[in-house]
Order: sequence, then structure tokens, then C-alpha cells
Amino acid sequence: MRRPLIILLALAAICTSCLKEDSLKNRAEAIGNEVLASKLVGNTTGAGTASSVLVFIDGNIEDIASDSDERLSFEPVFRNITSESAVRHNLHCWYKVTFDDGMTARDAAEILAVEKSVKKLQYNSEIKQEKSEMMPYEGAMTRSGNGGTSFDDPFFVEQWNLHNDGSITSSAFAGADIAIKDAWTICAGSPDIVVAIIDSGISTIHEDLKDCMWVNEAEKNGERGVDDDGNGFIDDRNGFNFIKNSGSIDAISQGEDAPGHGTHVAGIIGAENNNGKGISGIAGGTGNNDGVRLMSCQIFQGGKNPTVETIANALIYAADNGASIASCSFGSPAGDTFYYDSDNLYKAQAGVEYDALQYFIDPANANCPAVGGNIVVFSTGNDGRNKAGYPGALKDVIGVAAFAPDFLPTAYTNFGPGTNIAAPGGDYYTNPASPATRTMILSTIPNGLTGTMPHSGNTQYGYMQGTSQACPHVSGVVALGMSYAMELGRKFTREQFVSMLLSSTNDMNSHLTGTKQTKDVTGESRLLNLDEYKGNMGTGAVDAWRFLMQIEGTPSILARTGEEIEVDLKDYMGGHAGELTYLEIDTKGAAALGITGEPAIEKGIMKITCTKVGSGKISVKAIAGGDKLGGGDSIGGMEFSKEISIASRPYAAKNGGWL
Amino acid sequence: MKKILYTVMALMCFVCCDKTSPTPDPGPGASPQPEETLAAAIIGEWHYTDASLGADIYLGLTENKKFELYQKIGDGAYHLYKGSWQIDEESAVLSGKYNDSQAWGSEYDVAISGDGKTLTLSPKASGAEEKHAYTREEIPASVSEHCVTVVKSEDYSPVF
Repeated sequence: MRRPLIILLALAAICTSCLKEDSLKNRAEAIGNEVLASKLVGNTTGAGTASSVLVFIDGNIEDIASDSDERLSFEPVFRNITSESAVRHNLHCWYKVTFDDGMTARDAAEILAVEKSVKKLQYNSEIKQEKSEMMPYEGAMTRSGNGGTSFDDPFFVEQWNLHNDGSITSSAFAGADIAIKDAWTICAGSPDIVVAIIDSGISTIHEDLKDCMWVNEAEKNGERGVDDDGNGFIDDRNGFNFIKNSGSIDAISQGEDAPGHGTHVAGIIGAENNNGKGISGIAGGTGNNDGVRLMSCQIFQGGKNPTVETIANALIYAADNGASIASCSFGSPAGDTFYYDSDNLYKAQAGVEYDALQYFIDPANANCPAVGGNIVVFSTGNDGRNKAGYPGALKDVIGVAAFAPDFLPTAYTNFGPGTNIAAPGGDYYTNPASPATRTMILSTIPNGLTGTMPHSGNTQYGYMQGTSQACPHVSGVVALGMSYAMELGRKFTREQFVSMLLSSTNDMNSHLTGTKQTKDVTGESRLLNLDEYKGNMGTGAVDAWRFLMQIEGTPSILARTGEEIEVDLKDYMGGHAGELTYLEIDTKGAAALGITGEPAIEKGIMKITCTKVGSGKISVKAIAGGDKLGGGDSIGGMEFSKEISIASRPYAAKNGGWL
Repeated sequence: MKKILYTVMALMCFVCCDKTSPTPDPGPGASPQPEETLAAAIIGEWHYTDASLGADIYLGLTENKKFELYQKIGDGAYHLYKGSWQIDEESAVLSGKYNDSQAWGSEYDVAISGDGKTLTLSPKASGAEEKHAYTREEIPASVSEHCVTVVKSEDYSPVF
């Protein structure tokens, strides 16, 4: 017989989170329970609506469960937690507590809060997916063709996001794309790279995706209803549906806020190339079944929203089952103090999701032999705010903003601190006087999803827009980079690899002057002051070709001994090198060159003088996404660094030419 | 009969030894003709490596006095520089400038081997003590199609 607990009102223990003292006081007053306030993290509005409470227990679960109120039931949040890494990230400490009818999450939380070994409590709140409309591909097929690539995907010419020749609309800017054509001459993907799409379900039968899906061979060849590989998940053939707790992936379901979202995202990353059908995928291979593999981690389903536990479980599953990249087109609204406005607040409040994120990127769980840690890519959000939303703003993940075919920011994109890089997101109102779906992003959609527009064309392809679409562009480029690194036998730390990505960009800042007349997603006119975006679109527009070149290696600069050289850091730190905040120039590795004085950087040009013949390396560190580093009490950017190799000869040309 | 045969043989010899027949194109490996200028002799594609700096250099010199220089020093892709060159036939000095108007780091004393297969450039800036021996070699497509352009030619239209 369990003893009923006596709820004691005690002075609040010193909060182990990083909440400021006055916030804690306000919170305690708001919550009306100091003990609970001292331990409660996350979204407190779930007090009345959450169906469970997550608790972080530093102690023996059996003792707590046996002594606890019999109306409470405990189960571990995560399955199969045995690895050293899982323990190091405290995954074994998280439990989900459900309660009897008639109780609220608040009731349960108050009971649990008095337990000494309960260190944190989090309402297992639901996360709503932002509404997003799919516009069908009208299929008039006035244009088809492979755009001069060696692939035969007929809709490639409509994919301005991959290759923009300026013809998609009158205001299109040729080159406002991810430079995929040149990249594909070198690499188009590898089936050894697995990308987890944490989103709504992927259509695993789609003509352009069915041969690109990650396949759990043990489950594919195993017995229905049995966890054939013992990973804790039954029938997870192409991923897992964390809403239904089932291996059955649902690409379409009634009541979804963004129908077809996961399928659309997946196609951008890895739709099969060169199969004579549909679109091209960034890392979709060459037509020889050699593209990257797509793992469907379904967290959205019509009529049911994910909780923080759902998302955390999806990340753990992805890491444990071979994914090197997590593509996450979701997040919390930007700038709302309730929804985290600093890395410290996120760490303190996000609880279980933060631990899961850290587990995914832990070098111990790296799944690509070429990179010492998995990569997480998030969208910055569609609030049109001058800061990224979390988790995208977190310094440990890559936050992606969106631009339109005119190479200018969209009205909806979040930008500024926490934004690390930019990519095509599409904009229906690129030309507000004559809006067109073709200026959005064309990708795969579940067959039969017609959207709200009259439909006449191919039912397997449609348009969407958003930082949701910008995010998978970067995920796809990361996947390409990992594929190429493996092909070359190169090895990088996670930090080196991310630094190369963030410095493989094209300049947007020089275009960000004046204003842009557009409309927001509701159709309201907006006049964007482009100066506000200057320096705030991360390190610039992602360039797949430059990224592969960096993975191949960066040649040395040739300097003339005794004379000052100017190094254009755009070649090393990306297109926005002129506006970055630089942290450090380390010349210790270049002692042989006899560099005099402190090298200076002005507007992205580094001036140095080598007084001796020889070679060496200079390391340059900068911030991607803001003028201060994240990880503290404000939203900030991610540190990235590059090594610049220099060789000094007495007769090198001043521009580094050999002759 | 013998007289006719000797006449025919003499005529054939005359034809075979006709010195006025056109000189065939020597091709990349042939010896330069005596009347050929140094400029003509160095036209073509050349390859040089410098192990001490990890340098791999391909140089293409064209008839219209343009050059393409593909250089890789250390890792990574080749970087392409373009520009123009000129040669002083009397002093056998090669010089040039890049399309960004930067002059070459040095002028070079030029020597070409008798078979035309080796071009030796000695940077005058080093007192011509160094001798860089370039061998005649076609620039591989893997280099020319897979390089990063540093100094653009006049007709290059940058995307950004």
C-alpha cells in the first residue's frame, strides 16, 4: 500500500536551472507553489492540458514509484538506454508519468515536486505544427528539361532553388541557388549517408522516393509484429511513427496542419536523380540507386500533435539507427521570452529535448565515418522576426533562413542572431503584382494530396514555401558533403565540417540595400527594409560546389616574401566575410613564415606580411549568426574557424599567382 | 631499257628529295624549326611540380599571347589564373601580367630543349639561380574542368 504523500510548502530550493532570481520569483508567484516552481521547466501552459509529466530522477525509480501516489504511473521516456553516451546525457533519468482521469498535469507535478530525487519536471506539452499550404504543380509543362545537367529529371528546370538561370520569374536573380550543377559533376550522394527527416511521414511509395528510403533490413526481412533487430521498435522498416507508436508511416492523414510536409522536405534532400521522373534531389544520386537514404521519423500526424517527448525520442532513434543528419523543419516562435530567448534559457527549460539533441551530436554516436559527430539542421522559423526561433537558434545546431528567387529575404523568414546560413525557401509573392507558385519550392508530395487549389497537373509534385523548405537545402548539402568526404577518405571533426559548411557561401549582403515590396503569407503588403537584413542572413547563401571544394582541400596561398599580401577571406570564411565578427587570428602555426605584427582584418580582407621563405598555417575564428556567441544569456551565433595555409616565396605575384 | 630505268629512278629521286615541299606540322613533341621564334616554340601546354612546396602547376600559353595557369599548392582544387604574356626574343626573357593587372612575380629567363619537350624558366628575381623545368603535357580535363577561378578573364561573367 503506497503511503499518501504530504505536500509540504517549503522554501524554494536553489534552482539548478539558470533562471534569474526575479524570474524565479515571478514564476513561483504565477505558479503558486514554490517547490514546484523551483523544479518546473519548459512550457508551463501545459499545466491543465498536458496528458503526462516528464520527470528527471536522480535516484532509484523503484523507490519513487513504489512510494508514490497510486494514481501515477511511471515509464522510461527512452527505450534501450544502455550506452555510455546515453548515460552521460542523462537519458536514463527521464521518466514519463501518466495520471488517472480526474487529475491534471499540475496535480501530478505538485505530487512529484516534493520528491527529493525528482530534480526537474516538464509538462509533456504538445507542439503545434505551423499551418502550411501545398500549392499543386499545375503541370502545364510549358517548361521541362534537365537544365543542362546530365540528369534526365524533367522538372529540374522548375527547380530554381537548385539552379537559377533567372528565367523562373522577371525579378529572378541568376545564381540565386545552391550551385548544384557544378557540385553534381563531383558528387551526387552516397547510400552510406542516412538523413533523418523529423517531420510528418514520408510517402515511401512515391515514384521519386521509394528507392531512396532507408531500409531496416532486419525488419524488412523479419516477422510482422516483432522487434526483429531488438532496437526497441517494432516493424520500423523505413523509420518510425512516434505519434502512433508504430512502424507504419502515414504520409497523409486527416486534419494535418501542413499536409505532405515531410514528403516535400524529403524530396528536396534526396529525390531520386536521373530516373526520367519528377524532380532532382540535392543528394539524390546519379540514377544508379546511389543517392543518400531517407529515414522517416514521423512526429506529426493529423489530429494529434507531438509532445516534447515525441521529438526527443525521434532524435534518439535517428542517432541509434544510423542517421548522420537530422533535418528538422519545426521550432518555437522566435523572440518570445516564453519560448526561449537565449541558449541558457533553452538549456534550462527544454529539458528532455536538449538532452536528446546533445546525444545526437555526441561524437560517440557519429554515424558517418568521415565526420566526428552527427549534424542537426533546423529552420529559423517563419515569424518574420529579427532573431531565430529555438531550437534553430541554439549554437549547437545550424539555423537556416530563407531567400526568394530574387536572392532577397522573404517576408516570413526569421533572421539575425541565431541564423547561421541562408538557403532557398521560396516566395509566392516574389512579384507581388503577379504572384506565382513557380517562385515557391517544387518537390515531391504524397500522391492524391491536391491542396486547396484547382488541380490539373501531376499529382505527385507540388509547391510549398518556408524556412521549412530552406532547412532541407542545407541538410541536402551536408549530406552531399558527407558523401564526398567518405569517397575521398577524408576525416573531419564535427567542428571542422560545420566550419567548412558555414564558409561555403555566397554573398547576399551586397544585394541588401534599399527596400523590397512584397506580401506576407496572409497577403498583406509588406515593405522590407533590406538594410535590416544586411549581416543578418548568417554567413550567406549556401553553395554546394564551394563546400565540396573545401572538402577536397583548400590550397595554400602563395605570398611574396617581405611584402604585405591581402587575403580575401570570402574564399575562406564565406560570402559574408566582410561583415563577420572575428574572434581570433592565431599565427602560432605560421612561425616559419616570420609574420610580423598582428594580422589585421578589415572588411573581410586580412593583411599579413611574411618575412621568411617557407610555409605555415594561420587559423581564423569568427561567429556565424550574430555578433556574439550563443550559449549564454542571449541568442548568439556559432563559432567557426578555418585554417589558411600560406607558402612564402620571394617572387610570387601579389595576387598569389605562381608566375 | 636500262637507260629508261635509270632516268625513271633519277626522276623519282628528284621528286623524293624535293626541298620545296611544305613542312608538316611538327606537333607537340617535334623539334622546333630553325626559323621558328622562341614565342612559337613555347606555345602549348606545360606541367611543373615543386615537391618542396607541394606545388602542381599546369601552364597553357596560346598563340594570341594569352595564358591559363592552373595551380595547386598543397591540398584542394586547382586555382585558375588567366592573363597575357610576352617574350623578348633577343634576351629570351618571358614576362606577363594577370587579368587583374597584377604583374607576374618575376620575369623569367627562357630556355627550351632541342626536342621542344622541356621549357626551363628561371626566375630573374632569384638571380636566375633556380631553374624550373616544365615538361610539355596536355592539361588534363580533370584539372581544367574541376578548378576554381581566381583571376577572371575579360569575358567572364560572374554570377554574383
